[in-house]
Amino acid sequence: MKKVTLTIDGKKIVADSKKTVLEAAAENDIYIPTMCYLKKLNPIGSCRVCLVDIEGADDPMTSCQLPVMEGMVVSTKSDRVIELRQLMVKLILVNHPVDCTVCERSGECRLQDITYEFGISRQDLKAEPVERVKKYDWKLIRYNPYLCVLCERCIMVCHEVQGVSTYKIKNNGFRSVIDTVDEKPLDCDFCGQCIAVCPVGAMSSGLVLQARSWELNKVRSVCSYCGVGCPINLDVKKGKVYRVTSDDNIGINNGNLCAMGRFGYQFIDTEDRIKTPLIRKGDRLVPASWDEALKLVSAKFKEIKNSHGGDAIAGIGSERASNEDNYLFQKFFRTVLVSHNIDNLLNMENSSFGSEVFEKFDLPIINSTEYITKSDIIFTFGADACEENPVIGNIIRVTMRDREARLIVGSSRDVGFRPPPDFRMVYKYGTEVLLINGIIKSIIGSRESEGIKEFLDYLKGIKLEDVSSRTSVSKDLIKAISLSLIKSKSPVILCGREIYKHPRGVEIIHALQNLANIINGNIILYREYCNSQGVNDMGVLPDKYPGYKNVADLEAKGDFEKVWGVTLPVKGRMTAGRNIIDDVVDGKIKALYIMGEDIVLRSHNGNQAREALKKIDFLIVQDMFLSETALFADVVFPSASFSEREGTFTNMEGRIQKINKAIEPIGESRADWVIIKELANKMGGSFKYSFTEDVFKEIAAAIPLYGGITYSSIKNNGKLANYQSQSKKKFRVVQHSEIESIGDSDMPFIFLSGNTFFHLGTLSRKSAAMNMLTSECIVEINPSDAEKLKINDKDTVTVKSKNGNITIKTKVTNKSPQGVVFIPVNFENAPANILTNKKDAVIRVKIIKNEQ
Amino acid sequence: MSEQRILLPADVTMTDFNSIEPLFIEGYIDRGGYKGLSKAINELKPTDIIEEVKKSGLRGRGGAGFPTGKKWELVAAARGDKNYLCCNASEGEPETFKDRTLIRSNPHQLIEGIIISAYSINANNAYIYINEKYTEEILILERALREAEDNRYTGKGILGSKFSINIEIKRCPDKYVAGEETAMMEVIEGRPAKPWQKPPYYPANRGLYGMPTLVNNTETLSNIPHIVLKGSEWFSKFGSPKSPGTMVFTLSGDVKRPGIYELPLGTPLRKIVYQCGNGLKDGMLFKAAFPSGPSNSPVTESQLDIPLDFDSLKGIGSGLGSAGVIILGDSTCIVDTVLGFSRFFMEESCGQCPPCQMGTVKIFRLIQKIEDGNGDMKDLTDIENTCSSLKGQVVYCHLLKGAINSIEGVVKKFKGKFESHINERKCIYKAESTLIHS
Ligand SMILES: Cc1cc2nc3c(=O)[nH]c(=O)nc-3n(C[C@H](O)[C@H](O)[C@H](O)COP(=O)(O)O)c2cc1C
Ligand code: SF4
Ligand code: SF4
Ligand code: SF4
Ligand code: SF4
Ligand code: FES
Repeated sequence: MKKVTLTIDGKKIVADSKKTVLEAAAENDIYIPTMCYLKKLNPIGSCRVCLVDIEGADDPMTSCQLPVMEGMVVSTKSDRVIELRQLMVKLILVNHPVDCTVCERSGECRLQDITYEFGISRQDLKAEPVERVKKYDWKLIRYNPYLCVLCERCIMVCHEVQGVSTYKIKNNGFRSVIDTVDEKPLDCDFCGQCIAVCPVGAMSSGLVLQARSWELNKVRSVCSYCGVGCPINLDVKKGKVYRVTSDDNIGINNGNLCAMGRFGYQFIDTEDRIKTPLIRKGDRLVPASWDEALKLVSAKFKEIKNSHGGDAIAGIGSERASNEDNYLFQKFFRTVLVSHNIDNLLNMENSSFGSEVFEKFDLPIINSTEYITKSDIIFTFGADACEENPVIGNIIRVTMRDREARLIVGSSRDVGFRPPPDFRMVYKYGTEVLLINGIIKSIIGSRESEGIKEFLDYLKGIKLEDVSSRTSVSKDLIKAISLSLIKSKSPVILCGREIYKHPRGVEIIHALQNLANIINGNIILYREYCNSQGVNDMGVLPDKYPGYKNVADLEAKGDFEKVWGVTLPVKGRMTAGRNIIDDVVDGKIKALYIMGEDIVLRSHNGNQAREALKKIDFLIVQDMFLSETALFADVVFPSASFSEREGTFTNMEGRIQKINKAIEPIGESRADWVIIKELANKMGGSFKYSFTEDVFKEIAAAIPLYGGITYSSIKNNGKLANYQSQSKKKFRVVQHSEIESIGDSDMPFIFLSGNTFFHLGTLSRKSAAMNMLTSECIVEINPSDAEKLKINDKDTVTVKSKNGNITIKTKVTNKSPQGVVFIPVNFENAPANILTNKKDAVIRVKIIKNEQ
Repeated sequence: MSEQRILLPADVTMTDFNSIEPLFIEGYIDRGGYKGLSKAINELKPTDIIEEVKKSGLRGRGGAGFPTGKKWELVAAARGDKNYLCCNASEGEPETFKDRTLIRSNPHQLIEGIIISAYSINANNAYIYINEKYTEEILILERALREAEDNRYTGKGILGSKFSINIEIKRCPDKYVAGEETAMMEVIEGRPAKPWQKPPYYPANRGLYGMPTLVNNTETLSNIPHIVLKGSEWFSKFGSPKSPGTMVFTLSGDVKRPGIYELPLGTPLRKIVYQCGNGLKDGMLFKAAFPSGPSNSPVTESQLDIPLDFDSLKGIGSGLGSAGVIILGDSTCIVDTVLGFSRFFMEESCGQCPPCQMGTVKIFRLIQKIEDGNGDMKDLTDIENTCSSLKGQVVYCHLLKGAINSIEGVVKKFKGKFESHINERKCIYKAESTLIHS
């Protein structure tokens, strides 16, 4: 890159020619005060606090916007600029009610700081007050124009980072205020980025703070919602979490969060938290002491183990629990109960993703998001990058801004992006492999390729016309996309929920891997929950030890026997091809221990889950809330939330990050691993861990993936686990295969499900703020389908599959292509998983309009 | 009357604006129209034309009087894959209608000027950025552009050359600041009208869509066909040596015959007031003139012989701007007039620069207080202090400087009028007028 030499305050400086004077100064420890400047945004230049003098220029200039130039002589401390900067601040203060005594931002306010820094103690300017309208009728976000310094950060962050472009400056001159573009109440992503960047108290959260900034203790943690794993701060005062904040320049999110991350923390101390262990007495669950509850469970487990063997007891671990919890969970089963009968919901639904992908095929799909920020083409496949793991959407958007990266969006729904992608490809669900092979074919056709012969031979048989007609993606679009992929120097492919929940998910990943090999790209796989990756790494799998070592592998067995000091069972999964819930229904399992999952709502077959829970002899549920699943329990263990304990999560990049204890556990709840430890020890195990760190130490020693990482070394940016694949580029022939489709002949719609922007899992449903944003489940349907069925927006309909039916309101939207309907999961009042029964099939449904 | 018409059609009277009939293509060609263009395309290289315009000494008619040829040279020299040309017809300054008149009376003269200029700086895309309130003129331009296209003066490979030009109309919000050239870029690219900090980037090297862009005023561009056809020597015969050519003046205020007058630059103010304007109305005596709308210091009676050109006016601390001359008679209250000006600046400030946003309100409020009879001497000093403290402030466009120039000038030259408002605790002019009416 081109360098230029300039002088700042007498110091010779060599700087990159793309830098601004402010950046060059900062790199050389020369301080220039700023107010509107924010590193993650393009310079705005509205406050004039960063003025500097340039030799030869008549007027001082704003250093945040001024590019460095060869031979430039800059003075940051001339009398003139110091005086002018002061005047700027005085001018801003003219109409600013200095309400610091009642302002929520007092103590962390840029205006306050700069006034103090500049030593402004007298205001010799004055102006008549101007009437302005406070915006206090918006949801979650409030705007007080009297405090606004019109720095425009909120406008820019919403536009550049969130892609929503909600705000504008309304009016001009002294009447200028911030308002929404359409001047209607705020209707947006509610990410709260605008609050985070506001340098003063003008934008604030409607969740009234009642805590001064200096009273709040910031405890570093990780968002407990999705698999992005955004670092956050829990701002705590006297044992209560008052808000969630995040810091720029730290972690994957660079200070950005989504609505759930920023506002969805209220579940921590809602009334519904379970405060003591509960034991079933008849049809009621009554409070009990820990000792009582643990004794009961241990006695029951012993009894079952003695009479039916250890593997009559099964356990389901959690995509939301920490690595330590999950590690001890499987260790408890394997060493104390002598059972490999453990699993997690992700693996149960789609076992290939739980383990096979990592172990057998060695696919490099756990990758750092740096591959996105360094890319010139981003290809999202089967992901809804705006709504799914939203902060990844921010990363994509900023990469598009900074590197002019192009975006290709492929999905079976018309998910789009903001800003609009360069290519939008809506394909027919179930034809993904065919489509990818078509793209590869189109690429190969236009250039020499390396790779295995069979693969090339296989491609020869593919006809683009055929691909186009079966996937419903036009030939021209396929060609255009492949052309832009070839031109790319650093492409990255992102795969979302649609793929990892797909009956053919693994094949799709293989096909994409072939594509990535050819275009020299990298794949990044989304993860749904904060520890979807970790629960699998920890070996909460019936056929894998921690680190994906095969249970059937005697060498692995020997290794773990050494680490754990016990003899391990040889027998693996109970019944091949059947998961734990199937086995419960078949009567093979007597007791079930579920840690932190609501299988009634989250299992892919809701009816079957209910049936299993009714049937099971003895059910232990360990949770924060009395979930739909916990209602069936015989014993309930109250677990502490992520804010009440320590531990580690592993995010979608394979980044191990630490959560810390911010408040005391609510009631008598305990960290999951502590509960497991006590139970294990009650049953004769020897779990000698005093601190979370002790468990992590064992993990690092037992799992090469986590090898060499010490607990104390996991700081702000976490530590990447050792996923780097050593394998050479492998090509595999992946053929399209038809998926069984279940439904009667009068069920025309393909049913898809997923998450919505404001809800993920059941936790967000416990957060009042999130329910304020959406509390009702909807079915998305294409306008032309709706018209045929004479259905309007917000009509109540019944969605019926062969498996069941739910009643739900409609949302008529182009996001659903014709013939496809979409229902978000995890709403207890419309459990979408009632409609599905078989994991390897496409479910068809019909829609019946309810008569009012 | 000593009008010298180059730009305005010789045979049209300009006092009744609505009666102006536009000259469409046949009439224009009949009078020698588009000859300059064919000369440019067939006989001249772009550099020749730039040289000729430089030699003519033509200066920008949009306000700053910047040498036009020099600006062209900068754009032509700037490196970019695509150059743009913007014709500024935003004309947001109160009491100024010259661009409107030029478009209304002679749209093809402007179009020809645009094509020649675009050819000279190698721009294939040009915009006419016109005030949205000029609805009739927009219709006239639309028709004229269609005619030009039908006659192959615009479009691909014009007049058999390799040069292509596409001219588009862009509507500009009726806001003063929207006429500032960088605010114009923002508007054309679809954002609110807010000027940029300059330097580092001027439109000439980095304008529309990041490309080198020539911005010229409507009147500036209307001069081009004449200069190209008749030569720079012919052109510089008019006007004064450093401000050659004519200028279209908009005369308003307390004169008997307000209107549009095209005069050689350097014409004395006295002449425009007494010959063109036919003297002051209602038997008033001359009190002051604002030679460029509200944005410059006033000219007083002792300065009536000042030649109206860029440098002479600058020499007495005023400016020619875009020649919207406002005349004040002795029974008009100058405090009230300047109150109107300050309200204008307050309303028109885009608000992005704190000094401008806050300063313009403050000054307006102080003047209002004095005009209403509620002011004291402290308020007057406060106006002076505010003006001088705002002077060195960093703002992104000339709006604030214009405001200060005119208000400071009025306070300096007519301090007594402010003092009498303060002492009498009322505006005597208003008191009188109520007397007459009652
Ligand atoms: C606040 C403000 C308003 C302006 N309004 C206009 C206008 O209405 N028309 C115009 O031609 N120039 C206007 N200008 C000047 C333009 O920025 C620019 O200098 C001019 O269009 C250049 O053309 P010229 O070189 O032909 O004069 C304005 C400048 C400022 C600072
Ligand atoms: S909450 Fe997010 S989307 Fe909504 S206005 Fe603020 S920045 Fe924009
Ligand atoms: S609300 Fe805050 S961020 Fe937005 S312009 Fe006002 S002060 Fe700046
Ligand atoms: S993107 Fe995911 S990790 Fe980040 S704040 Fe949102 S839910 Fe939390
Ligand atoms: S000086 Fe005034 S009008 Fe010009 S850019 Fe600044 S705020 Fe806007
Ligand atoms: S920090 Fe540079 S203008 Fe605000």
